[in-house]
Amino acid sequence: MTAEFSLNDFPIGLVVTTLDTSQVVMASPYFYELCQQPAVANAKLGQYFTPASKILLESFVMPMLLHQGHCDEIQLTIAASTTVRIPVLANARVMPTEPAMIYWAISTSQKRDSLYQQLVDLRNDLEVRAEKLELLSQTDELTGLYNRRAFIERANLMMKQAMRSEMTCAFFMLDIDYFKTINDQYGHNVGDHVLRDMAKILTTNTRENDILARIGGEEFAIMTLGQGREDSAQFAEKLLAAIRVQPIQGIAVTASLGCAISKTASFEQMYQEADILLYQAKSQGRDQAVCQ
Amino acid sequence: MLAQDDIITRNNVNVLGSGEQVLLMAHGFGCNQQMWRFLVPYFEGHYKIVLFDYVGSGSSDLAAYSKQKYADLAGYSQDIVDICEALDLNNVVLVGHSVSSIIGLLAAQKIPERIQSQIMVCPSPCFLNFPPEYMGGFNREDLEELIDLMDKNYIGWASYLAPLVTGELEGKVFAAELTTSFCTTNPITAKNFAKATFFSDYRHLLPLNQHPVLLLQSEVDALASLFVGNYMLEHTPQSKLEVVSARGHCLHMTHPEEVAGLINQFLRGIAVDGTGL
Repeated sequence: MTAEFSLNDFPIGLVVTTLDTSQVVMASPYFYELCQQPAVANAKLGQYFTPASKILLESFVMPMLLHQGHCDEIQLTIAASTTVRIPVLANARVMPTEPAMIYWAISTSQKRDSLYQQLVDLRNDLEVRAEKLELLSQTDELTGLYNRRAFIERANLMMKQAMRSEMTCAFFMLDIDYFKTINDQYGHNVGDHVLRDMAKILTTNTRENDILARIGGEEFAIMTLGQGREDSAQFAEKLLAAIRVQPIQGIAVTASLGCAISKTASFEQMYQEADILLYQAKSQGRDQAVCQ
Repeated sequence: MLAQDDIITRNNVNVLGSGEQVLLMAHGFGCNQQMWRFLVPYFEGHYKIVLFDYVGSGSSDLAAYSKQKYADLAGYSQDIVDICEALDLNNVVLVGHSVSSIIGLLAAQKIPERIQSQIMVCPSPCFLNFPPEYMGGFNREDLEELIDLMDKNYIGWASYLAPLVTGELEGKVFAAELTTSFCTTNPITAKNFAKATFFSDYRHLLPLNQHPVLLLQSEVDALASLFVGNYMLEHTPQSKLEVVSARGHCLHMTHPEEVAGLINQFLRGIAVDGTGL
């Protein structure tokens, strides 16, 4: 009875390759039909696939086969000729023979592929929109820094992190001195330029893991992790010096800064403290830092 | 500096074995730290082995993922720098598979004093062809197709739709989709890593190397040909090339014994004369 049915008649490509060299040791006629190529001796499995598929085979499929012994539903592309591409779906598993062999079941996936293409196009469109929205919701449009909302969220995360590891957080609040005068004297356009250049100076002088934001009109905030009192005071002086030394838009600009430091305070407490210290710096004559 | 515990969680750092010398093993594009499990037993007895997953791979903390940061190999190299600094690792041998060789090179430039040497398993500084002088193996169209294929293998609807539906645009929804599978199934991170890996060109970085480097190459490798191996050797100061009689791009998984032997030989050489060459 079984002799009447042949595996060759199943509409699926069956292939056996060696695990260590990927040499094809057996392939059903349907596989060659899919590839639109005649069988050749000593073929390697990779030669039937596009270069992109070879990357997937080497980066995903082979490591998975070596690690877990099987790999399911991987979409690959057969290069039938230089112009004809056949999307296929492959399942494979390793048989622990001596030498070890990989058994592949490869089926055509043309209809699934065109459906997926539509899904991918639609998803890409959604991705672009979602990213734009996310960026808009977090960024200060004028300077490109984080906005107040993003700052509060990220600073809270950093403070939780600090609390867990008993590290110190420093909250720097910086305000450009006499900004209203700059706006009145040179116009809002120049004022905007000053804000943008200030953002650049602060970006250059902060570290990658610091959180830097514009949180108000001419007000910037920085939160750092792991800096003690002395480091923070030095950092504050460094920032003010960097601002002082280069005229912005041809104008000598200075800033005042308040810095609160704590291991345990809440965000609101630090915010309030930094604000008070900033006010002190202003009232003591500006262009200076007051640290806790 | 970031807190040690946070880095350990973020990068799913695992420390095995003990010893003065640190082997920091960095997995390549696609999979996670488990790909080192065949090689680890050869070193566990004498070395402190540090394994980790890049943010966006394996069991790393996806909430720490930034599409912008990890669109560039420099972002991945910062993971290595963060780990070395948080764990205060010194005298580190960086073992990197494939693209992690270049990521390691970027990291070694940032913290040269912490690095002792580099082992590069099937490295390539650039996968693109620039004929006639450089043949990385792939044309731009091949790599565009790779991104397309990855899309079709990892449609990942939930990652995009969930935030839109719930109005939640922060990393939380995204982070919930943690993957425990061996190879990356997260469409956003995998595609970003693929782009950073396959569309980059770091050939200019090789001459800047400052540490002894062992290059391990397969005889036949669809991703990093012998041409690429020889190019690496020619342009990387203090490097040594060993070609393993094997096929494929995962030498450390298919031929761990040979790879371990060559690494040991190289490290013994460094112990003797400081170069291993």
